[in-house]
Amino acid sequence: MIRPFQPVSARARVALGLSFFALFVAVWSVATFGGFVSPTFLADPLTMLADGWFLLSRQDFLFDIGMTVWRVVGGFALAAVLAVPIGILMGAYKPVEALLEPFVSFSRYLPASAFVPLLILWAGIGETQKLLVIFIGSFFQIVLMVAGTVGATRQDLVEAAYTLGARDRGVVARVVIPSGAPDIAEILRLVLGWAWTYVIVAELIGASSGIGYMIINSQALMATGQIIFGIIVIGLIGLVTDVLFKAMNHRLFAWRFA
Amino acid sequence: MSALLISGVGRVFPGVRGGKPVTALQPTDLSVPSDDFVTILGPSGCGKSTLLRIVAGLDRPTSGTVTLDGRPVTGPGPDRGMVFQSYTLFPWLTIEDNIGFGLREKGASAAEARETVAYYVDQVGLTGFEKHWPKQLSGGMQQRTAIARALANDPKILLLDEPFGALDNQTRGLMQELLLGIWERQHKMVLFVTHDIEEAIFVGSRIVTMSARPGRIKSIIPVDLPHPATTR
Ligand SMILES: Nc1ncnc2c1ncn2[C@@H]1O[C@H](COP(=O)(O)OP(=O)(O)OP(=O)(O)O)[C@@H](O)[C@H]1O
Ligand SMILES: [Mg+2]
Repeated sequence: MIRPFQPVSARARVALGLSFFALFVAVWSVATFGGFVSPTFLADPLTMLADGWFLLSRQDFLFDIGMTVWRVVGGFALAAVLAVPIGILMGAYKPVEALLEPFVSFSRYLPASAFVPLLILWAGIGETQKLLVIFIGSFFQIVLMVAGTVGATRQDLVEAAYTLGARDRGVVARVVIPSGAPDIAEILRLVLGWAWTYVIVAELIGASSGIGYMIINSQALMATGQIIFGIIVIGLIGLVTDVLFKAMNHRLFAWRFA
Repeated sequence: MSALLISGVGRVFPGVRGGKPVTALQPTDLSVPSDDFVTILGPSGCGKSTLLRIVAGLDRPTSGTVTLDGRPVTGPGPDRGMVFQSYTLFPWLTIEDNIGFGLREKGASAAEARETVAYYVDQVGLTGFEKHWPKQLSGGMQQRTAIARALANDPKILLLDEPFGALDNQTRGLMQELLLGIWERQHKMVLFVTHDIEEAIFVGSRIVTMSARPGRIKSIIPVDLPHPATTR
C-alpha cells in the first residue's frame, strides 16, 4: 500500500529508479526495432551504442566531452563566485537591493542564447565567448534567487543573535549565511543544470569542439544515433553531478536532514 | 547597584492598511532593582511582548526611555539576555554551539567558552545532548537551551517572554523550579512575562499586572510567600 510521505527503503528506491530507465529503453526499442519509426528519424538503441563506440574510439569524443564540461564548469563557477556574494548583499542590505534588483530582474529575462551572435562579434569564437554565454545565462539567475533566499532569513533568529551581542557583520556571517547556505547550494545545483542548456547552444554556433559541435555535425550526416548518444552523455553527466551535489549537501548541511 | 528604569515608555503601532493606529502600550513606569524577579501578568494582546522587546532594544518606544544602570537603551546588546516566546535556537548549530554563540561573539577563548558551556549544559540538565541539533530535542529541552544560551552570556538582566507557554503543566513546573534554582544561585534581574496567574505567583518576587488594550500597568504586588523552590 502506498501512503502519503511514507519513506521507501534504499534498495526499493534504486530498483524503482532503474526500472523507469528500463521502461524508457523498452519503449524506445519497440518503437525502433518494431519498425514504427523510420531509422532516418530515430536510431535504435543498438545503433546508438555502436555510434557511441565509434565516436569514442575513432573521433576522440572524450576530448569533446572534456571541452564541454570545462566550459560549463568554468562559466558556471565564474558566475557563482561573483553572483553569490552580490545576492547575499542584496538580500541583507535593502539599499543594495533597491539599487540592483530592477536591473537584475530585467537582465534575467534576456535570453543567453540571443547573445551568442553578439558575443561572437565581441569575443570571437574562442573559449571566452563560450564562457560568457554560460556566465550571462547563470549570473543573473543566481543573484536573484540568492537574494530571495537571504531576504527570507528568519527575523527571529536575527533578533536572537543581536540580543546575544552580535554586530551587523556577525549577523551576516553567523546567521544569514549559515541559515541560507543549504538553499544557496540547492540554487547552484539548479542553475548548473540550466548551464548545460546554454553550453550546447553556444557550441552549436561557431565551435570546433564540444558535444554541441558533434551534434550539429551529426545532423549534417543524418547520424541520429550519434546525436542521441551525445544527448544521453549529457544526461548521464547531469545525473552524476546531481548525485554528487546532493551527497555533498547532505554532508555539509546535516542539520537540515537530521 | 544595578537597576532597570522604565519611564514613560509607550508604543503606538501605525495603522495597518489605512486603519487606526494601535496603542500597544500606554506610557508606563517601572523600576526593577538588582536581583529582583519581576513577573509581568496580563491577558493576550496587552503589550507584554512589546514592553519586553523595547527593554531588549529590539523595538523602539514611541515615547519614554529605558535605562539600565543609568545607560539609556538604544539597541539590543549582550547585557540583556532574551528568551523568546517562539523557539529561536539556531537550527544549524548543535546545542553546545547554540549555548556558546554569545561567548564566541564576545571573543572568549575556546577553553573559557568550553568551560562556561559545560557549566550551563549541566545547570539546565542537558548533559548528553551537547552534540544534538535543536530539532532533535523536545520543546521543553529547546527552551532550556535558550535559557542557557542567554545565561552563558552573563547578562545583567534576563528577559523571558512566556518561555514555558507551550509546555504541559508537569514540565512547566519542573522548568519553573529549574529557573528559580538558577536565579537563587546567580541573583540576576529577571523580567518574566506570563499570562498564567499561578506561574506569576510561583516564580516572581513581585507581580506587575497589566490590563488589555490599550495596555497599561494596573498594579504592582509584592509576593510575600517564602520562596517555594527552597521550602519544598
Ligand atoms: N509589529 C506590529 N505591528 C502592529 N501592531 C502590533 C505589532 N506588534 C504588536 N502589535 C499590537 O500590539 C498589541 C500588543 O501586542 P503584544 O505582542 O505585545 O501582546 P502580548 O501581551 O505579548 O500578547 P500575547 O500574550 O498573546 O503574546 C496587539 O494588539 C498587537 O495587535
Ligand atoms: Mg507576547
